[in-house]
Amino acid sequence: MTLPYGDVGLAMTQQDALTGNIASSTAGVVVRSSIRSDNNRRATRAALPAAPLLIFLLLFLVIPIGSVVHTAISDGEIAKALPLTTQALQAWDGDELPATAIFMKLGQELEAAGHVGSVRPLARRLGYELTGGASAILNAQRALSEDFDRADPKAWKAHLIKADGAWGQGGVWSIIKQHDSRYSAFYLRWATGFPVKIEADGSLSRESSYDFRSIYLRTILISLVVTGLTIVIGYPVAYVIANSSGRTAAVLLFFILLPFWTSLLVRTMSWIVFLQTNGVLNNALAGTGLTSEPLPLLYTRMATIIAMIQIQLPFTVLPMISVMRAIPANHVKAARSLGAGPLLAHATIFLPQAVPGIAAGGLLTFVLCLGFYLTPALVGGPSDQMVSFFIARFTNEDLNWGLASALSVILIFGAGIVALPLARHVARHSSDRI
Amino acid sequence: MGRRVYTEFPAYIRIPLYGFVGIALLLLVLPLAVALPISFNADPWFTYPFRAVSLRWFEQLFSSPLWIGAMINSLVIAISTTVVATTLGTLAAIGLVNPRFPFRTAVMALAISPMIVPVVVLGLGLFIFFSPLGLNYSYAGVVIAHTILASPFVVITVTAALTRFDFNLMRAAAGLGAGRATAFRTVMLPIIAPGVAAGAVFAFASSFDEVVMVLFIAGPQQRTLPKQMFTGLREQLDPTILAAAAVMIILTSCLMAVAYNANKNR
Repeated sequence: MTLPYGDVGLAMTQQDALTGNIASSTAGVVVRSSIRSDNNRRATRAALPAAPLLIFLLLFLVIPIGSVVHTAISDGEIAKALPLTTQALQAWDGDELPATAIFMKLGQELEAAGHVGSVRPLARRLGYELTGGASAILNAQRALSEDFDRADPKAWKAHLIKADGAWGQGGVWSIIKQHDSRYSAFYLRWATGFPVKIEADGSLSRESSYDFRSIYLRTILISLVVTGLTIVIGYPVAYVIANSSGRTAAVLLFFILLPFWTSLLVRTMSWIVFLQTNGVLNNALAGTGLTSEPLPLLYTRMATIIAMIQIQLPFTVLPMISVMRAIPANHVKAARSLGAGPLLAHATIFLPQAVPGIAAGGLLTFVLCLGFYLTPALVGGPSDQMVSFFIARFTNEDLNWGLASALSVILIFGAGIVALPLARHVARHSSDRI
Repeated sequence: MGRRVYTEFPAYIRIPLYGFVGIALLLLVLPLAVALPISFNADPWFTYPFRAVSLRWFEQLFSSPLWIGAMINSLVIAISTTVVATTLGTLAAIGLVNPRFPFRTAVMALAISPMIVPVVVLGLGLFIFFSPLGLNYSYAGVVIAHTILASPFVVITVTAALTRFDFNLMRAAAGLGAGRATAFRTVMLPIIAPGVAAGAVFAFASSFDEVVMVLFIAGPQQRTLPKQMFTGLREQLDPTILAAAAVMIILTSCLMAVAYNANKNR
């Protein structure tokens, strides 16, 4: 809707140029500001219909992702339950055991924590960072209900060390000392594969943890392989579809869109039926006498990659088709008439012009692959699980939200870097996506 | 779309090319084409050939309270999601096609971002955000989560429909005395209806299929069809799951076909 306001604005500017100083006059300012406020009003009115969705997205997309980031750096259990102990420990040099007064403070704060129910979170949190950390807290908590001389700090110390030997060593105290803030990089360090756990004596824990670096590496590797293969398979498919017309194109497109429309879960399920030990493929192979016993096809890296390729192929092919269809046919014909062979003409004239489509399809596939959960979880083996699997596991089974959030932060950060050029492409071509 | 021929590849390239594409497309649909008919196998085996054909797995599906409950849950959640996502998405698309929209590209990217953000991250975020609000393990929570995932489909299809819409019609309606709401209801909506319908179908299908959000947000009360299938796939593969998959595919592909045709006939 372009009502004449724009023209009025234009006329004003021209008049300004003519009369030189009209803008400084009161009338000019009033007209200008009323035009500006009118423009603002129009922008607001344009944005108004989108407001409900934007508020919805702000509430249930932006804020939740913000709370994932917040959870990844929140680390307040120790500071919350033991504020005075943490404070008193700041002066401790770490060479020998803390002063007896600090033992008493710790004991009193543990007792208080027992009344407000923050002992379990405290125990769990300490257990993440210290071998036997959870039981150190729980044992101390239990021992405090026993009878001892509460007026004497020495008695507190002896009692706590008797309850759990960890209190007689430096490790646990050095951890508590570090937790004077409610935020820390602990979960992010854990999620990026740094050793975070120590033994009671302060040495690094020998207990094996998840090797997150190789999990990221595996995620990237599987995504790269799937992206590469979907491009290699998708390019000729897209070429043939872009090159055909009418009914042929519709039928070919149907083959691409059918799996695209079909539930992800159903497609993954069909691979299970197809590949499992007594599945269709193994029976067919045995029937033709090619194999004497069933091959282990399901729960392998290969099954994961094949199923992911099938699921991602439409995402790679569709942007390619839309870009290829816009390539003028004359260019290749011209190259051919100038003597280039069919493959040379294709490689030097057609392919370079198709690159934006290949890049968009490939990037989209790569980003979507990074976040794959369902397919690897159902057709992959334990060593084929990607970052998303561990995020789901730490959220729903281990209830370690801090670690799940830290893994998520790293995943979206990585995917975001890859997705930035993609977002630009999508914004430009958003109308021809489906 | 006229016929475009980029190169007349000679036969020694064309035949392998067509062969390759044919095999690729076949492999794309093969697992589905092979797996689904097994739901008609009378025996509980996942193999061919069948000794007999029967509907017993479908019977089992429609007589088990567990599966029926899951189907009803899925329908309720998918329909609610469709209503909310279609309303919000259509309105947003109307705003977003207006060139005066401030920060249009950035807002469009935000509106489409749920398609790209890993679902587990969204699930975790909503789970953390919902827990003080008491929305975890509730229908409302699942519908909100599904609406986030479904709204980009509506925004994209309705935006596409609106780029073909002649906004002079709205001015004509205003000139004839219609208010904005009346003009929208009587002029714009009927014209962009196929795009809205397509968006609604995608929204429905995306919710009806969705399982990851359900794993994070839903409780046993909100057990949906995909959730029931997922549990079955992880524990014991049973032909009833195949029957459920067949029902799911038939329902969503019928809807898709309707939406596809509605758009094509324009």
